[in-house]
Amino acid sequence: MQGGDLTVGTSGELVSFDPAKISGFGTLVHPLLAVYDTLLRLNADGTVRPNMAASMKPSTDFTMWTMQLNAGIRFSDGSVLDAAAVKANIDRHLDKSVKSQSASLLAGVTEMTIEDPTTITFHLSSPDVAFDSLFTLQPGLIAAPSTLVAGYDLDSKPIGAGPFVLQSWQRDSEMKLSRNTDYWQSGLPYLDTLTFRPVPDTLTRVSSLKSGDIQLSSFIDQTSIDSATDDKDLAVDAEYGNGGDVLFLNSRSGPLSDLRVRTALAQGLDLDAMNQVLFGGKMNVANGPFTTDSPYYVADNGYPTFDVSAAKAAIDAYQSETGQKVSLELAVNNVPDRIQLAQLLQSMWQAIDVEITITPLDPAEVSARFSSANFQIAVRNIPTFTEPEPLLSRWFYGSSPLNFSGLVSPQLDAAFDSGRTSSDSADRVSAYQEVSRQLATTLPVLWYAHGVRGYAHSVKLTLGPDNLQNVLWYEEIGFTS
Amino acid sequence: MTVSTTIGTRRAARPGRSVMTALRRRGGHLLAVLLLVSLGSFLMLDLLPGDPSYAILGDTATPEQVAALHHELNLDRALPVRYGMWLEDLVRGDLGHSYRTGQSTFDAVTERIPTTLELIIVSQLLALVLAVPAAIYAAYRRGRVFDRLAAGAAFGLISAPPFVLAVAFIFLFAVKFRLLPATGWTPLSDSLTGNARSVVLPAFALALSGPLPTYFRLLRSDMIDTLQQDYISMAKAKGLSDRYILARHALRPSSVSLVTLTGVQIGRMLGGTVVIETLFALPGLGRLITTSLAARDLIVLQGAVLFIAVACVLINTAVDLVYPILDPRVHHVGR
Repeated sequence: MQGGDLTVGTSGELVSFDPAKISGFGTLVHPLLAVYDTLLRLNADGTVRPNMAASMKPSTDFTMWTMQLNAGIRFSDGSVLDAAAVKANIDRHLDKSVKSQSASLLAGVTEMTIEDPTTITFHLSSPDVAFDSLFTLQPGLIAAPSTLVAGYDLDSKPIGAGPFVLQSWQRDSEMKLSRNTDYWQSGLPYLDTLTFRPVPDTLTRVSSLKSGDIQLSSFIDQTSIDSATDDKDLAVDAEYGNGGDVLFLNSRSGPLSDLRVRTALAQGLDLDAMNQVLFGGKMNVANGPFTTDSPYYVADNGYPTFDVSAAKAAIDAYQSETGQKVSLELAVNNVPDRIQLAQLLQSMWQAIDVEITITPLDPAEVSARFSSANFQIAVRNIPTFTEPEPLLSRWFYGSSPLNFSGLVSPQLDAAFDSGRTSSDSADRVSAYQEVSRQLATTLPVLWYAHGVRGYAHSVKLTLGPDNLQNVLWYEEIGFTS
Repeated sequence: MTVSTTIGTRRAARPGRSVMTALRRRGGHLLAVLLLVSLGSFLMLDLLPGDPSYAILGDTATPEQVAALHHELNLDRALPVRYGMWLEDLVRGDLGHSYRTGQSTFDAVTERIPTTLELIIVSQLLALVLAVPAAIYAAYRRGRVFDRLAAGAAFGLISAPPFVLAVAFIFLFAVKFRLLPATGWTPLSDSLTGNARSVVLPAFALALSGPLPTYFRLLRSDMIDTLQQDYISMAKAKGLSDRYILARHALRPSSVSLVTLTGVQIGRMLGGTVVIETLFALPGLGRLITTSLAARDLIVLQGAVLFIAVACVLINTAVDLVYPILDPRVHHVGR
């Protein structure tokens, strides 16, 4: 129904409304979706659908993409969202002085041509069949050009063409948005107001949902989802997604540069025990980046199975060959569930004669340690993704800055290249299945669990038909009564 | 805190002169403490692992980008140089801007002060209003049922960390009975009742987890000592009522330690707000410190620590000024 005030609990505070300062589309950046909307949108099957852009068509060789914008879309200050506005935003992402977190996503753009007020063509340095999917992410958030000038406070005074307009924002307290009466989709949004309230403690956030203080929140841990499921006044939409928790193995030097050691570590993982001890039997076991319902999933991709004897034999062979005991450091975030995981891994790998030293890290230290390759084994989450390019490839492509493992595999790079450049869907499926096989056999990371993401919300709320695991379209959300 | 007092051996100073002397002396203390605190926190923050560059540039930052940002933020300079630059800006009234959000540190701190201030004031009032009568009655009925029960409860509360009480309160009063909100903050300027509803649970959690049982135990003990003094026996012999003796003859001399502790507790409560504000999702200084620390937003963190240092010195100065009012035998040393 039309109307209503929704309060959404988030796990933290938004840093900025500047599209250049955000990464990912987790719930922390949902206010940007509500204020800016996106040029294109992603379907659950990975295909792209029109939104503020009516179409986006490639040239035959996929080195040029032409975007046609819907006519008549206006920012909330009355100015027009046209091709020039899109170009101004993308130019800003590419401006090195801005330090945009999306710059690497758009690195292939060599030139932009404005064909007419609603048409813009992107020229790429190499073919990219999934280039359109970038505009379902951060580059698809378009701010009014008047806010992109030096000196304007884009951090806290956004002007977009999305379904809501920022009314007030007290950091760490509440951000209030109201309906954009000139929203380009008639009849939407349903809600009158939308409030984001950061509630960092997960337990308190569940309690706030149960008490009715907030009516919607996302969770990425099974315990919270179970707790919300038990409440008859709450509905839960939860599912496992591609990606998940992994153990990055730094293969640049030392024992982990030897595939036998990496394979032995994989063979030493008792995933059933891990499932029971850490996940209460609800772990969605992973053998690679893709879940079983993904077209790219391969059941027998070669990922090592639990085999203590084989693992121990491999470690023994390595030790007698090198004369060195395999002793490794395991770096984890300094939070209870990660420490518990580390202790379990330590005991499992002790059984195959691998000595593990656990190093708890403050979250702020994690990125620095990863980027400087100052780790041996580290637990990290690969966020849920639908389209593998670029959200999967950036972690494993040989020359990617996020290739933390340091493993460079020409076969793996070729498979990613094939997936990115092939226009035939069957070829793309084949390419990403090869990615799955390559990852399972070269082992830059050890896979064990796919990530879960769930939205828990009041039963009086409907989320709309098109929401994805990590994205909510707030104009579609409404109360049933 | 330090209390520079002498008792009875000097001629009582005039109150106005005493206050001015104390203020002059405290002004010097304040400057010295601020310098020491700012230097100490600068050194400690420098020892923290992690790099604010990644909070700004994201995970995709290359070493070259990180190095360029270090240069831009002066993070590549030596610690004494950075400290000197920060002090220079401070003298000009510029506390810098957040590395992450670009917000001015002064704004970030000052917009959160009202929430933390209100939380601490309400917690202190709750603690005093509940602890003082309970302690007087327990001392008056020493060894009886109420005294034993109250002492047991105080012992239990003083052992309970704030987060345990906070979670228990949220479950009982927000989830189970739905009487009060679990999270969120309504400013006093928006709604009096809304503000009262949002402050009750966090204030009780903060008060019960430290100040209340501490005040109770201290005041009870002091009252028991005072009630054994000769002048109390004299008052009883004169036929004064117990209520009058407790209120007029026993409470005032027993309160000196309580007032001292109240000042000290405010400093400790500022620490407690870090947990309480995070659990109840309140936009206060404690929450600012938590988020700034996690993101290594050192400039904001430094500003918040500086504010807390100033607040602690000012509060303890105020406490010192109250002594002569409570007990005329106490006056400040005018040196």
